[in-house]
Amino acid sequence: MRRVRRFLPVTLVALLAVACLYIIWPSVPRDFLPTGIPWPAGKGIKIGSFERRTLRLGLDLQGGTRLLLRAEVPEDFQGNIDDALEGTIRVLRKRVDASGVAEAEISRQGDKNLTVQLPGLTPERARSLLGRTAQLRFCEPAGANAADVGLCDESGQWQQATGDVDGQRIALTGRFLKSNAFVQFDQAGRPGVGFEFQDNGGEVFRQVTSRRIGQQIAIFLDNEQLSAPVVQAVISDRGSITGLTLERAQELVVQLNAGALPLQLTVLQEQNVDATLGKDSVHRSVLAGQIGLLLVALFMILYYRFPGVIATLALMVYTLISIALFKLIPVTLTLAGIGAFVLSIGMAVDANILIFERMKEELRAGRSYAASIDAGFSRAWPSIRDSNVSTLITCGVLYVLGGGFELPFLGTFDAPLVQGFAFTLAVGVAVSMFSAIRVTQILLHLFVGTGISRRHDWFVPEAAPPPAPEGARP
Amino acid sequence: MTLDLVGTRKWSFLFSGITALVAVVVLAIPPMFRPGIEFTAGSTALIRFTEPVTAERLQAAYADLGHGEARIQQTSGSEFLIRTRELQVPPGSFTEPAAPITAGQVPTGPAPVEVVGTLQAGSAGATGTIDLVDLDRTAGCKLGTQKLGTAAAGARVDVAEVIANCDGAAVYRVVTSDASGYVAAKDIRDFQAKPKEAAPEPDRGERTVIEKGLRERLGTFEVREFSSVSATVSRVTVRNTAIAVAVATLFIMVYIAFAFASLPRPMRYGACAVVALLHDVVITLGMFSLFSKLFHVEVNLMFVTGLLTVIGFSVHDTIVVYDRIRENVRQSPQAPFASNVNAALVQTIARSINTSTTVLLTVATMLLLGGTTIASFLLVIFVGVAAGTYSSIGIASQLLVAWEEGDLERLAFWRRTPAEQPAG
Repeated sequence: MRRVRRFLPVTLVALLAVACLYIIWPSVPRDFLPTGIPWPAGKGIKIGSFERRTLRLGLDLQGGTRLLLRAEVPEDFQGNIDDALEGTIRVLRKRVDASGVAEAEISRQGDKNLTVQLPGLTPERARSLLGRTAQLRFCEPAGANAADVGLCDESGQWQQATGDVDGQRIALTGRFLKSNAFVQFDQAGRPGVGFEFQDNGGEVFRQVTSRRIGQQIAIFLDNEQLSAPVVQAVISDRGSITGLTLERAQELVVQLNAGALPLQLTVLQEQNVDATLGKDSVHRSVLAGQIGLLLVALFMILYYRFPGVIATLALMVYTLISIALFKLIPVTLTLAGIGAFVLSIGMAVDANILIFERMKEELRAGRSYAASIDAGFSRAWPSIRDSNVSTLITCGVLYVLGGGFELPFLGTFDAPLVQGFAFTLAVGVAVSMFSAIRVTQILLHLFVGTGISRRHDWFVPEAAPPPAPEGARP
Repeated sequence: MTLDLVGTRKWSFLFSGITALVAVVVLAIPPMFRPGIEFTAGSTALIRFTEPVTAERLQAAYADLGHGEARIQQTSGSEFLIRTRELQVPPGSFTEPAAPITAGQVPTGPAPVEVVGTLQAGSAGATGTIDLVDLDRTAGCKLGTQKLGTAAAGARVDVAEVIANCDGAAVYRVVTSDASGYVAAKDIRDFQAKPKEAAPEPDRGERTVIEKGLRERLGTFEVREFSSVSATVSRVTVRNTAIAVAVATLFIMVYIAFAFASLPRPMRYGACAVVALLHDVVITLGMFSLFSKLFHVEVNLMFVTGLLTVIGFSVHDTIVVYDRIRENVRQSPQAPFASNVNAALVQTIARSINTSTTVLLTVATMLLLGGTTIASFLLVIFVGVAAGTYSSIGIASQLLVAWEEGDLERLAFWRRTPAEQPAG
């Protein structure tokens, strides 16, 4: 039983490390590991519909898809084209961010073109996510005044649904939706999109549903009919669109919440593009990073001796867990993210150094190995906690502010630059508070009562080596 | 005998003060920074080379032409998307991108084509007519079997395209008055390439300069797209980032005050940590401004990230030292504050230096061995971490002592009370 208690934590840590190693094993090993050895290719992980094959890397490290879009400015366009283009970019950015693709790059090219670079999306998905105007319209069966209000499709079967508010005729479009559309499932488990009206939308919808009760109405996205439900009751505040696939429903939610594009876009070109930092540069930096970490390990072992070995092992476990999390969540790793990761490694090392310095003090003060482990940890804990919590607070603030929000009078405030950094750093620090500390403790405890625990000279340089029995030190 | 670090505080203040002042002066001299291409409008070109070219060679060629900032992305084969800073070109120098592509579109004749040369149909001595067939470009390159037209053997016909290596041999696209189709090399003779017209190239300012330079270094190419692009990161975004960081700093100040609430005057800890943080940021910025001026180092997105890393590190380092002060003050509340702080500094100095060493070790290795594109990022971290380590020892904690001992007042009333007792 005591043996179980002794070895169980270590076994669990080892299992966790192996599992993480399996998860993160690269699918193209020669990009990350020394060449010349026939490394097996990683398969990633797949549980049901949850699949992660590769780490998600940003444009700077891996490249992605580039779309060149042309904004179609109508002949009779009134207003400032520059403003309309800026608005278009904003909507595109919202769509990209909401669909979970981090670190996209959007800029104007020439007079009327936009160029978008997206990491980790196939050209088809990028095209369907960004290429659509996403103008949502509510339509009713065409009647006598169809020509006045406008038809919804070419068949002439549907006309734009309208209502009268304060003596004005208002067409019911996506403009009247709150930007909180969501994916929902009906009783049969079929996906759909739920939405709520704002401003006068509810009133118009009430008028439409009350005069069309028992008849069909239709909902169009651009020129495509999404659904044509029969009106069962008068509704004024909310509605839903059914008959969609799950993927389509998710995409529609993103598009509805980001709003319709002010200008229609045509995809001029799409192509795969390589890493912006240059493949060669990325490879060399990966190699250099590995050498750097090796040097750190060497330094730790030379300076701290036995605990340095333990810390190196703990650090390996820490790195494995962090990268596995980056892959599973998934976090889009960019150079900024890697910077954050390097910082979090530094902080994980620091936690170990703090603990070891305390342990040394305890050992010098004549405590036993086991006692000095516990004292070392409990005394180092407050500073580890305070410094890491302050880092987590910074991450939280940067992440929340980076996400963007509307300020009264000042417009939209967002700083997407720092979000990826903040998120990656937060994951790293959170993991380090568990792993670097807990794993080190488990590993150190493994040696309680063994020969090593009496070799104080392996911990404190100036301590006398054994024959001198326990307690011979000052 | 322990090290008296607190006693040296006036020297560290003097040193930091001068360094920070120099940094501010350097920053004040325009240009403060050289903004990277993310922050400025630029020019973008999509270029396809005839011969295989690597991204590294292209990058080197651009650097040679004075555009070390060029961001090069390979798109396919030897086609590259290149973004540089804005090139000075006369109006009308832009090449509009090609028309929309449609999936599965395969070029077929007849279509208005540019004649690249002429040939005689049929191999030597052939008679009758030679079939012009289709070409299957979807599956690699393979001559088809569909007959699109014929050409009389021996007749001289125009050639619209030469596909150098198709199924092991050259294939020619032949255009006659009524048909267009492909013919294999074995079925032709006497191909004569049309001499390239030495049409005077229009002067397109810097675009022409670069294109000429590239052609000399890397061979012929086709410019498929050339236009101006806006900044990918707007100035508003950068400003907002700075605001976000400032707000985060305020939160840190409050948290530190909260964490040290058990000590007298906890707000001071937060304030001094922030002063040390500002010190690190100003020195890092100043150093970079100097690099900008001397070596044309640019401030890019990675610089922003690096600065965030430095900020994180600086606060972390300071808190570790503060924590030790807290412990010492609790243990011996009767001892003078200065001696408690000094003990804390002595106890943590090994740890501070070791932690920094590990980070600097990694960064230095990457700086020396890694790719050049991330050098500025690493440089920021290197300078910032070094400054952060120094300031956690020489500034953050020492300021607490100076505040406690009333150094500032003493400085102000220097003349009136010259015989003030030195700090215990």
